[in-house]
Amino acid sequence: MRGDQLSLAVHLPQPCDLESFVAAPDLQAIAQLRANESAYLHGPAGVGKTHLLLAACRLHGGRYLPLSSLLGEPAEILAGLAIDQPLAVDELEGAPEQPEFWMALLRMLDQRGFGNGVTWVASRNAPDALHRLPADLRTRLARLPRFHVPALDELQQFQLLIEGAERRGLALPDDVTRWWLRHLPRDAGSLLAGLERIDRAALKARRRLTLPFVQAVLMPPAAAPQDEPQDD
Amino acid sequence: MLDKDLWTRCLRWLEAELSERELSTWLRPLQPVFQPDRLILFAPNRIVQERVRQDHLEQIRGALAHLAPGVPLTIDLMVGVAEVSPAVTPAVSMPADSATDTPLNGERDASLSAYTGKLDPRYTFNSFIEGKSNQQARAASEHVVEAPGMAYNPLFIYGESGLGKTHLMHAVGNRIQQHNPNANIAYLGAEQWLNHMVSAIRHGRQEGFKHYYRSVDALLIDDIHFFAHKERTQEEFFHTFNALIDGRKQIVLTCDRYPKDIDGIDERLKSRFTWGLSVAVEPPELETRVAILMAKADQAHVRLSEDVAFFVAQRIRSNVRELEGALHRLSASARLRGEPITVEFAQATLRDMLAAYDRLVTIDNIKRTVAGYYNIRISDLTSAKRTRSLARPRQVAMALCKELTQHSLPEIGEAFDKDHTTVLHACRKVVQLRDEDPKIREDYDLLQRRLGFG
Repeated sequence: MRGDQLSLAVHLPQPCDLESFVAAPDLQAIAQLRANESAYLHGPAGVGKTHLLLAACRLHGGRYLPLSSLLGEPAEILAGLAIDQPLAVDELEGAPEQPEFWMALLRMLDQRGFGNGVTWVASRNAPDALHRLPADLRTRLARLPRFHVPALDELQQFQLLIEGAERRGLALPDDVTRWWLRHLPRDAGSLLAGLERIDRAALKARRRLTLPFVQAVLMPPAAAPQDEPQDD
Repeated sequence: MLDKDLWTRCLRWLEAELSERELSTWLRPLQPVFQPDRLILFAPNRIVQERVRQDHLEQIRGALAHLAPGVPLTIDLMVGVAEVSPAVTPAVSMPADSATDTPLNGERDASLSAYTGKLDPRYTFNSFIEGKSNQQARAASEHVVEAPGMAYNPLFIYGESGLGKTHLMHAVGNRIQQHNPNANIAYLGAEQWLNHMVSAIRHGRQEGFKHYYRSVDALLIDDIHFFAHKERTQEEFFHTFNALIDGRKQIVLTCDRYPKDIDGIDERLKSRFTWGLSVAVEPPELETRVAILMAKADQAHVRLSEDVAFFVAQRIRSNVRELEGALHRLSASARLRGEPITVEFAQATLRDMLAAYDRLVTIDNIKRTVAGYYNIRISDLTSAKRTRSLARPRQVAMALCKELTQHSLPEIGEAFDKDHTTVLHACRKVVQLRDEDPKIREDYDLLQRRLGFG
């Protein structure tokens, strides 16, 4: 006997992994992280640097330090990490503006270099362009092999949306995808955050992903376009 | 029966409740040690310990109750590092910076030496590549280790970041230790001295602190400029300095500038810094950069031909760490792509890095570099003052802008609040002075190297 299929209100978080990262096929940063080798990732906001670091932490059991979230924390927060555990330092440009903090970071990098510890760093800028940081720290960061993480091109943005939706068990109709890529921010971070929002909203409302539904979720009513072309 | 895999499964379980960010920031740094009915989680420091205790301990308990039902489990959260072996009684070692914590289980007191760093055995005189830019500093360092505390005390090594000061300091420490394995050598960063001093004051252990540093055979302090504007620290260091010099114990200091040029350091301390020998480490010239690259490649077992080393050294000119970074990048790409490192390969792989490097030579950067070199303010370069101490650096800066950038005379003039004829005059004057005055020639050549040319 078959009963009606129950819709369970279970939201499955998407694991942060290197496999799901949509990027240019020759992005060597991914192979470097997968091989558990040190790297300095730089590229504009929203290209997925944080995703890469978190995925590497998940894969190799690393410690993640988002510097902009550590404002007000004493420099001691950097202390004590085992040398055999990888360290991911994110949002370098947001590091607290305290000489003690920078010096602690500098010594930590020295210590890890000395012990061949794996260190990953991500920033919007290459080390030599981080003028806010002391030269001692900049040059230490410059020792890491650096990899540029570029912004997604149009095809990759499309691919990210479609594959990201599929992994969540969602079907994104063509008109939704077209509207999304035309009217909303298209960096990887925004696209993934949008998918997360519509996933949760669809689960809660038990709705298919129609264009009006997605518009209502992702854009405030006042900002939603009135005359959306159906095809283009 | 509990096993280490349980912690991994616990983290996987918590992926449903916590973001990857929270997990990797707070929970992944924890090191588990399982005992028959007890799980000890070692946090790297007090902050992680507190955060986990407040926000995540119940979640961990809940996850473990699901994954190991029926197993009574006590969770202890401690600061420290679990040793590799998950022994029944965990061996604990305290990380250097958490030495101010309450000793674990009352078993261990914070060591006085916990704040000092370790000498890196890779940094020796043999692995130091010598060139014109650093030969004096190397010779002085080697001289010091022949008779520590007797000549050149203190040895003060100064220069910009990434040029080998720390390498020489470690080499001195390693050689002294080699000659005398019982020598008590304290190597530390200036901020570590400060942290140690603050901790000693807080815990009423000033006497122990003083005794420790005043009884070493050699004191090596990196980045002494960090003492600037910290009067109490300078005061304590002053007395330690005197005690060590009186006891003929060797002191080696590194700094980003010449002692007299450090702002915020007491005059009597500055004066003492120059009692021994102050030696500069300058940016390496091309031949030295090539030799450094080849040596680093050898150490890393990377096959690097001389023409590739020459290509990279020609393009990356500021400091040794940049060269190392380029080598690491080439080595990683060659490994990942299974290709040999040729000049074309290097060109393509380092494209972004080299382009960014080329962009560094701007008028602003030249002004900053020249002002730093002559120890004047950047605004002095654009002021109307015509004293020689300002006019000469201004002319040098203008000439460098003309030679190293594509800017026109009027554009350079505008950047210095002058007209283009002043710039033209400055360029001609500097050409003449470089012919006539060896000091100006040396300054100009050095500034070019600092800006990545030559």
